[in-house]
Amino acid sequence: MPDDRYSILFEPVRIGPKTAKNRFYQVSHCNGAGFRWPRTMAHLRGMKAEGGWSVVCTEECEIHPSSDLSGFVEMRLWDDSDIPTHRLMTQKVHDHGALAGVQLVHNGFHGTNRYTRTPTLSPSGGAGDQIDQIQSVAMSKRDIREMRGWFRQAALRARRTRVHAGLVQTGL
Amino acid sequence: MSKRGYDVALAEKESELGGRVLLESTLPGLSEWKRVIDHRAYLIGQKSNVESYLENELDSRDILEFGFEHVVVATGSTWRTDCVGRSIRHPAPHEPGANIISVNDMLRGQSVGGKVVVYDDDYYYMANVLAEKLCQEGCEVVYVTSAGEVAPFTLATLEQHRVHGRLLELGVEIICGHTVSAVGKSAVTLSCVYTEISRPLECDALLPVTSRLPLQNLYTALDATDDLAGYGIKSIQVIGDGHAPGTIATAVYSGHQYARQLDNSVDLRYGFPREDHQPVVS
Repeated sequence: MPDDRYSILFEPVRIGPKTAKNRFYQVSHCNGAGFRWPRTMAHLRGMKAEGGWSVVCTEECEIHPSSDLSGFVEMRLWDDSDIPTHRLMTQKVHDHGALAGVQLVHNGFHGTNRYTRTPTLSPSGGAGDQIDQIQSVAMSKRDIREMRGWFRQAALRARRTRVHAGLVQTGL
Repeated sequence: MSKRGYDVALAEKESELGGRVLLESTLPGLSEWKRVIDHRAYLIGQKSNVESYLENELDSRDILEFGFEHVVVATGSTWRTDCVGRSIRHPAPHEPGANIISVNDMLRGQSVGGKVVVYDDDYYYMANVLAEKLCQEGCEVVYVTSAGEVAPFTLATLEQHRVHGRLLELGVEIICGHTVSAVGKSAVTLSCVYTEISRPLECDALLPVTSRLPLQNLYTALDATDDLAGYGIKSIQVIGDGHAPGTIATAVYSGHQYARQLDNSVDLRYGFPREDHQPVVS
């Protein structure tokens, strides 16, 4: 039996319309497999769920080609073709009674865009914080409106991957 | 654009086509980069629907009154002198009278003497090539970089070993892992990127090679114009270093992409066919 001091950790918690079966929330965890080795990624997340975590999140998930982290392997939700990769994971997480979460990210000038070959975006422009030789473009109001739209589209797509939780992050 | 059937008027501020490549190809070891200009100028010269106008700097009023349908602005960039780059996001304070040399002036042939600190927060070729040029001019050179080694981007181009070795052969003192956080008349302040411990480094001049500012005055003026359609203008776009300073290859691609994108309903920037993944079949 667990010590009484810790029993609260094992109580269910309501998160909006969903209930997490305990208070062990696996936050985003980059693992190096991502969309490139999707079955490895899905098994890792599934194993966490099997071990008892009530919520298991993805790693950083790029919402748009202007936030391409190539050089690192994470997750992507640029378009609908990425959804089945995510479902490999959400299925395994759900099989063990856990909720799946996604970390929706636009990386601003932290991005590399080594594959998409387009300038990164950031509020003030300037050199990126990687070694890459392309500076970011200072966003106009039009760009900001567009980025909000990209987040919305990615969130709608994420729902179709059957995730239940999410967090939003910018690396601007 | 010429190949796609547009009539093109190319207005060039300088007396020769080539922009930054004209200047950079005069630096030690970079003369072959002039091929970028030779190739492009030759191709343009073959096209009957491209007219080049040299020594022809235009302002927004000139452009509006010409009656062009599409305007593409390629005004380039300028190197910063305030040490702002990837490591320092706010200008480094400097004492009045501090001798700060700009990359822009070096590229246009400014001569420098004495002990010069080259501060590299750019990580590619410019800082180490200018260090070599300063050595050729008889300067005592100290190369300072925020990175852990000389020119870390050249690790990706397999040049780092040679670049680092070249500086050592030239007798350049190399100090890694430090930013230049303040600039005085007879010394700069170096700050360790790991411990933030500062120390002075005596010198006669500082050459910051950190980042660039896009030159967008012309584009901004055009973009702010009311009733562009009234002037017959359907689109205005800024490309190349004037949009996002990068490599020469990036600037060339930016122009290429613009030409393919014009009047094309497919979004080439973000809507290209992907081959970064093998979609999982569910």
